[in-house]
Amino acid sequence: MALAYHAVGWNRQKRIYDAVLAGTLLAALLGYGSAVLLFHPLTTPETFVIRFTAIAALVLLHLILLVGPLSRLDSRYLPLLYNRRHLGVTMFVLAAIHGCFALVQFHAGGDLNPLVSLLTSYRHDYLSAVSGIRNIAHFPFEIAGLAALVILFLMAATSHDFWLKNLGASFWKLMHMLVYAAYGLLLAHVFLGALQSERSPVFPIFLGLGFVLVAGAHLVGYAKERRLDRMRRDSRRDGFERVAEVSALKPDCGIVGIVRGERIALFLREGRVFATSNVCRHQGGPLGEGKIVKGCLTCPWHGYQYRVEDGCSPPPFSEVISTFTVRLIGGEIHVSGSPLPLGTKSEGVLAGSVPESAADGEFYIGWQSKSPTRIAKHSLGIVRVLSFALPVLFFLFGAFQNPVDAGGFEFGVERSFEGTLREDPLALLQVDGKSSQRGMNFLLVGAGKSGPPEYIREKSGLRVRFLGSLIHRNGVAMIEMNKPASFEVVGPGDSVTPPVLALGDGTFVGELVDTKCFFGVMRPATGKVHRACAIRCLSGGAPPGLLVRDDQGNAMVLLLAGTKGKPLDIDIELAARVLEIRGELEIHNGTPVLRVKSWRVQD
Amino acid sequence: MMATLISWALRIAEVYLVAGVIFALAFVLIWAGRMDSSAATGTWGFRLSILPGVVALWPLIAFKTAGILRAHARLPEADPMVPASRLRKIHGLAFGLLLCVVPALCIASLLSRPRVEVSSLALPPAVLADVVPVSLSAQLSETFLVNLRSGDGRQQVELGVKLPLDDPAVALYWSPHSAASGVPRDAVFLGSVWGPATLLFDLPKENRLTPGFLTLIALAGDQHVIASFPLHVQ
Repeated sequence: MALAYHAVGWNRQKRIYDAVLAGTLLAALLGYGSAVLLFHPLTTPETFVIRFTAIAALVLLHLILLVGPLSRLDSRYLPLLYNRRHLGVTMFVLAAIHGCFALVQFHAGGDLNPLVSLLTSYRHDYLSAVSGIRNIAHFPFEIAGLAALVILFLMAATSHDFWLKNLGASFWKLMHMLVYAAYGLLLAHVFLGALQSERSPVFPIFLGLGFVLVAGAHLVGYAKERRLDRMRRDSRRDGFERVAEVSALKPDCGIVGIVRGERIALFLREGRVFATSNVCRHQGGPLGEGKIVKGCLTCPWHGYQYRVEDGCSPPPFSEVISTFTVRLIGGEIHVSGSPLPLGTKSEGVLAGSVPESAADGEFYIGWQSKSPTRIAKHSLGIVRVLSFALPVLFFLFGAFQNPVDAGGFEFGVERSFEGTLREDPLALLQVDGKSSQRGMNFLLVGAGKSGPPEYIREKSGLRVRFLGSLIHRNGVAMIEMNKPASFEVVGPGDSVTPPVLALGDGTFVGELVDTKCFFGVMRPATGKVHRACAIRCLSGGAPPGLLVRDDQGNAMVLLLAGTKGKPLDIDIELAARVLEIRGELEIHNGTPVLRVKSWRVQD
Repeated sequence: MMATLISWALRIAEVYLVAGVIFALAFVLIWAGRMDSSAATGTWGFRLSILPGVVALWPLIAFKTAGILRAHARLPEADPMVPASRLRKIHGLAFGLLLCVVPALCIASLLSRPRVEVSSLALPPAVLADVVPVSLSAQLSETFLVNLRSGDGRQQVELGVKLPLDDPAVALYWSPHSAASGVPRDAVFLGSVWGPATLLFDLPKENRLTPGFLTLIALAGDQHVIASFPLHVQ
């Protein structure tokens, strides 16, 4: 209701609200962080940010969706509604951080624009969706998250009262109803994404519980609304409809009635009955549930005020609501079916005998400096519950997530390597006995989501020296060649190639992974959430592998290569899917390599 | 093809956003005040806060601004509203749709998720028709005997191959780790066993005090078994 717009119309209640919001988020961060440090210390900072912001945004979204129906059912929840805008914007900011980090982690640094990668990484699944979904679990999940983020952005960007006024309250309201679409899309994003890999029942249980709470509160609220709309209506007489008994009114309190299928608000002020529209011009709040404060009827949601006589906000404000002509016939209030022209002054009608006692209950107005005692106590109770429950909840979320993949990546640490370059079966450095890594094969990849650099092409068999960062997991090592300037050929390489143990043909079933991530660069490096990253890495030339597991869950990666003299022929866009591969198994200096002859999708 | 289409769509979105930024700057500085009297005296914080919305919705705002500039008047303070009952109906429909679709989608996605993580990839020994990696710990008693022996200053791995694999060939690899950093230094072919037998293999001298991994690769007819497990040297 400010005359000049501010970014935020700060007042004491809003400051308290934001302080509580920041405090609970901090408590949640501490709960989640301590669980991760305790149970999953290998979690990388990026993964921590991605997961925490996702969970926090989802929890806030549930709270946002609960606030509306709760405050309709119990006025003590109105303080939560008063500054819901800040809750929504905070939720969007968390979701945006999640989205940006995920975009960089899983899509950037590859051979495609990250946004193009985001929209095309699941080409197969879009096509299978068009031709008939065989398995809903394969349906792309990132697109649902992106769509939800766009909706949340639109809502956050248009949350200021400027938009409400200039887009029109109805359009604004309709646009902000898209929050349900965003909620549905986010649930789809989580269930089709992270929960495809997360095996702990904690996440689906809490998400299900959240959905039941949101749906339950809305259904109870809907039942209450339905009762209101089904209130007794009588036939019209001279264009008037009987709305309520005058005895139902209490001084300075509103009640809701129905005229021509639309709700109106009835007020008793100084012994006279007035009828106005029930819809606040601000956000459509239910004026009939408001009260008369300082001579004006006051909306319970955000405290917008109107004079009951003419529906105008007191100067200098300019909002206007409709008023109606009222008649009293034998203790019954009759209201005209058509509103008076906007701003027309109505005298109301004398109520006759007026109840002595004022209405019970306290009335919360956000812009007042203090909350009524009963409401303040209730709000304090909510804060206490949240400050205990949220850290516990986030601790559970942190503790029960899947263990992160093992492996290590010496990011930022440069080591010097020297040995003989080999190109078959894959680009690797064979380190000879003159160094500490005697007899070891090091697979070679480039920086970011790329395979062996171009400058090592046609240098197979030569002795080279360069700087790089080590990636290692379970006895397999890889070098990220991220210092092209350090690369030099130092002479002829070792003429003795390591012995190869050929074990013949076999068929293996496992997940197609990019070995750079799996050996230590990414955590998680498997599953559907990592799929886009795996596709980008494989597309960039990182060596593909087949992750096979035994019945104890122990993992082993078979490096995939083409049959001798032929390049590997496998659809890299099937990364993170389960493939059945037939090929010839060879052991190269202790590293299993599967020369692929044929493959098919198994899941 | 799809990437090309998406690239074009993104380029169009880029143009839309650049145009939006240019329009938004002009709007918040000049036209916002003409559209809304409260915006005329709005703070810089307010102007900044509406900027993203103007960038996103600039054609709509441009349309409204053009209308105002043509009429030389501000928008009416009380624009006509959609009846609240209709808004409630739309709200009910939106939530009803959510109520029906989302639980079905979530339950279906949970039920159909591929069981990759735990056991589906490991076929039980009875169906070892093809090459399938199996757990050494599960197979140990039936197929292999693996012991670490030490004495006389020697560290040895005792590998015994038993039935039911007929006439297997087993290659044994030793991948020691650096105890300090976990970085592998070496991978050594220790030797192989042909047929049901029990043999002793020496661990390399320099790795005798290093924990590491033993990898067994067994070949029997057209079947292969690969197993890798940690070995903690005392």
